[in-house]
Amino acid sequence: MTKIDERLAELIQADIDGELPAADRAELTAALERSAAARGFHDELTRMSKLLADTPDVEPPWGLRQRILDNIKLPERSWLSGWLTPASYGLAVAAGVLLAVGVTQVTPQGSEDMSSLVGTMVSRGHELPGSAASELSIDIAEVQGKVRLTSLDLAWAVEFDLQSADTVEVAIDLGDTGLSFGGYAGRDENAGVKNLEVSGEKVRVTNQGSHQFVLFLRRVPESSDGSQEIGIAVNQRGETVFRGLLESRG
Amino acid sequence: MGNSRDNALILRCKRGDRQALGELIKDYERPIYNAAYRILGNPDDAADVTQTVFLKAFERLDQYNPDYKFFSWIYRIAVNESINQRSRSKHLQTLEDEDIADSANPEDAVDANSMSRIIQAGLMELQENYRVVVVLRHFSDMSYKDIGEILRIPEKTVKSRLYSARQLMKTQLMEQGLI
Repeated sequence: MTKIDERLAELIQADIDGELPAADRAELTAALERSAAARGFHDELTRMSKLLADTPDVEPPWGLRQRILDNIKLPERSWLSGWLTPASYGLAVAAGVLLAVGVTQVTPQGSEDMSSLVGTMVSRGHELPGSAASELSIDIAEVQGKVRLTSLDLAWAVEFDLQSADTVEVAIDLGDTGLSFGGYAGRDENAGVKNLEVSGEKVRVTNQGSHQFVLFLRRVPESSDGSQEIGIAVNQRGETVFRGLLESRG
Repeated sequence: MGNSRDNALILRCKRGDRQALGELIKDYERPIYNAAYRILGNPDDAADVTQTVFLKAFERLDQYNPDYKFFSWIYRIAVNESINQRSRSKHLQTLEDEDIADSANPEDAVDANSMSRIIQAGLMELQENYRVVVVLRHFSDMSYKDIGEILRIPEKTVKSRLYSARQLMKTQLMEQGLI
């Protein structure tokens, strides 16, 4: 084969690899039309590329995947056990001691920001007192995990244990349940929220990655029981990607 | 194996979700094994490397930056481990090459397995830095950009190595009557 110049060889290689810029297409076409050597080189590379592409995959040995799985240790999984970290947050709101919150928007910068929202301390490793009334499982591309509503003595707690690769907004609609926002507690500094917004009966929490926090809800005095349904929605880039309901009866 | 899916699975793994771990291993076991096999030319070494890659990846999961592609990160570990393994077991190469040389004739070329072995023999003839780019490009379907990120070399170097490697491979495959 007659030697072809470096520029033409680069164009031919890029073409074979599917990386030829559109702007260079005409130059390559013209070169291939006028040069038999270029056509020969293009043809050889095409055949070689096809040969390599047609080479079948090699099967991994049976049992390799299980062997790998068996040898990898992951952190212990727990359902919100250990999420309350008194040392970092000063924590949390527990039954009967919810503090009134006149906050309309909170953007936490650190543990202190939440301290005004919290009351009785719950030590690390404790499950919330009370019984779960309702639970939602979310397993969609944008977000995965669970949301659980727990009845405390005089209040409710909505526990979030979600993961999302991108930033999502979790919207909680208390509707006419007669409940209002009473406080927030996060698992740790990495699992907090980028933004917490409270407006009337709606609470919006924006975060990315690990969403491990609890919203505490208190019964509005004199309120009557309404629909008993708390709406949970997950929004990403302005679109709702998940919608579900938690039942607050019981 | 989108990066968004990968990152979601990694986050779940960090929370101790073994199902997510299983999914991640299922996604990457075969491609990592194949890349390692093509670099090393030995199935047992490739299996060892594949296991080591996952163990190291999960040991260092906190070092993974989700702003970058997970597959680039895990392939970089795979390439490095393969190179390390190769230097540990170079004696096997000779045995493999002898086996392959015996069967490398044009008649065998009609059989996919024989063809695969001939190609593997050709790969093993290449110096390591050439072999790695050929493996990543042709067996792992990586772009120049991906290969550059994995090997931490400029795209221009990727292209130059690919060109040289192909010239050498082409000669060998022509001698075998495959192209």
